[in-house]
Amino acid sequence: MVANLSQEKSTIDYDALIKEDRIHSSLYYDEAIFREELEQIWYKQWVFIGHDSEVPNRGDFRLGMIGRQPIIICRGDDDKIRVFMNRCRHRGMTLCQLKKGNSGGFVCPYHGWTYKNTGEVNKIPLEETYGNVLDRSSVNLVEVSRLDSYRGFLFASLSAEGRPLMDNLGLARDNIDRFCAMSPTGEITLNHGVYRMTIRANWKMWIENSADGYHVMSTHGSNMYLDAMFGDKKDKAKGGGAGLFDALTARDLGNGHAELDMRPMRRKMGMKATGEWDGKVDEKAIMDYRKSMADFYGKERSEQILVDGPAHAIIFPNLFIILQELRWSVPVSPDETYIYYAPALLKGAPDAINTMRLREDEGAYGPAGFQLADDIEVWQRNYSGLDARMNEWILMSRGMGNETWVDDEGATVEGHLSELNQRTQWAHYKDVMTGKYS
Amino acid sequence: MAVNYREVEQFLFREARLADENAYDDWYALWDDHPETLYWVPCNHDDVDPERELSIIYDNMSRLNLRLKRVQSGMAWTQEPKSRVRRILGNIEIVETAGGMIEVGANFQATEIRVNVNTPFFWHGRYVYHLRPQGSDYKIRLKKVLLLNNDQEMTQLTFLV
Repeated sequence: MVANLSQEKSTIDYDALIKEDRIHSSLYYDEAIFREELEQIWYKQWVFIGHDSEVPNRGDFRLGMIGRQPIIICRGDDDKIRVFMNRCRHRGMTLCQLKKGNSGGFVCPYHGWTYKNTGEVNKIPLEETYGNVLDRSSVNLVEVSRLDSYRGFLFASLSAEGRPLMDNLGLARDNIDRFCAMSPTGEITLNHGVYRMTIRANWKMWIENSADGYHVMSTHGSNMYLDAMFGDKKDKAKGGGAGLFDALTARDLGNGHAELDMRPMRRKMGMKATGEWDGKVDEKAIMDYRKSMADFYGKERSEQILVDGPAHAIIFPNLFIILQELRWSVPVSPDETYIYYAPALLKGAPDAINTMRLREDEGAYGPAGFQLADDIEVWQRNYSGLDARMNEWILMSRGMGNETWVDDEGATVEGHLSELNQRTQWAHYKDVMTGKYS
Repeated sequence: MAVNYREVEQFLFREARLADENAYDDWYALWDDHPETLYWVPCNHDDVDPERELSIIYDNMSRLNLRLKRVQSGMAWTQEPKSRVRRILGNIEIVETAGGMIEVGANFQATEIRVNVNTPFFWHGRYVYHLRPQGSDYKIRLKKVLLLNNDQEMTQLTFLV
């Protein structure tokens, strides 16, 4: 029997395991903690599940997971998106096997029960011989307790209680806006394939790394090497090293959300998104893109969007918005996590720009990508290193002695590759796990 | 065009051995220095439209060169130390000869050992090659790798598949 932990008092002393400047290794490998995380975080909080452009037409569906629970994201014949538990109401069979597709409904192969794509039970074989013991209205597909979206980003919660999505996103909404702002229509599409990867590491190592500016020089040393040795002269003139990375800031967006803010660095370097594309796409496509951006946003604002570039933020517990990708995670066990990386294309942008975004993704990310493969290696060594248990504390104090300020939008900010982002993630985690945030 | 099956087979075996043994320069020399040369591993399904869909690898010669330079940098941590790999090719079939190019298909199974993992990694699938005859030898214009698990959660893929 699975204990309903939400009703039980935890035996874990999170205050003792999470200090301001350090955390204890058992938070990653302990089975009991993992089970409590499923209950307190994955089955209560808002969890990112996908984007509405993945199911653009009536009848479109795709499978997903919330924690360990399988779901079907489906656009019904009434054009409404619903999220069902992937389970027949009769005897509990997994209903849908296909990862994505289009269908008028779902058929359970066991006894032949069928459901419409709106979730209503349709045919129940030999229904008349049930007599009066079966209430049809009680066997429609079960939907998640709450489903909400912001700019097409779909979030679900298995708890009927809790704060609204917009309150939970808070300052992080601006990062979703900035990600979409790269599109000359303000819209992105996410149905262009997805990297599906399994990592032998705890899910929290993934979110820590996602907002970490400090690892880039070492973990991605091979990419620094390629840029230095084989990059074009313009890239070399920009310089690199600590001076440049110093201009990145860590931003605490509240509620466990954190940003690695590229804007100070980009403004300092005078970067422009379109400049980064030089040589990768023909000039006409860039000019067409810039014109359509100026038409949609106005000249001044569109130029600022191109200088600021796309967002780079992690929204607790499982959405990472970065450059041209959306990434999300699914916890499997303390030592295994599934991660999904999907390129977002810019609706209304020239085809050449979008194709180039795919090539950028392939170069850096995915199982064979020049960057991600090494990130995965680092997370896995991070997890296996926990086997050494003479001193189990993990340090996250970087930046604590340095200047902290609050910016115009109300976010707390630190420079110098601070670990502020990791500290804010863990502080929020502690609040959620101890019931202070719900 | 008369095709010598034995020569083609020997070429594929040599290509496989050089990839297995991380013989980066010799392996790179097998490729056709041509703007259309492509090293392609589709993602999610076999018939990817590369203009609108993601691939795991979609390398032209320039990116392939960088891929090989990267794993030799000493800082590509997934390949430090290098994977030990052996693969077996079978069902080798000359599919078509047209436009001066030989299309060859083959099934493969590869076993990868990583230094820090006791359990081997197994990779399976089908290779599709477009080979351009050059004298009594061949150059690779296309190598497309159809992984059986390209729609499932997978681990890193950083040896030469």
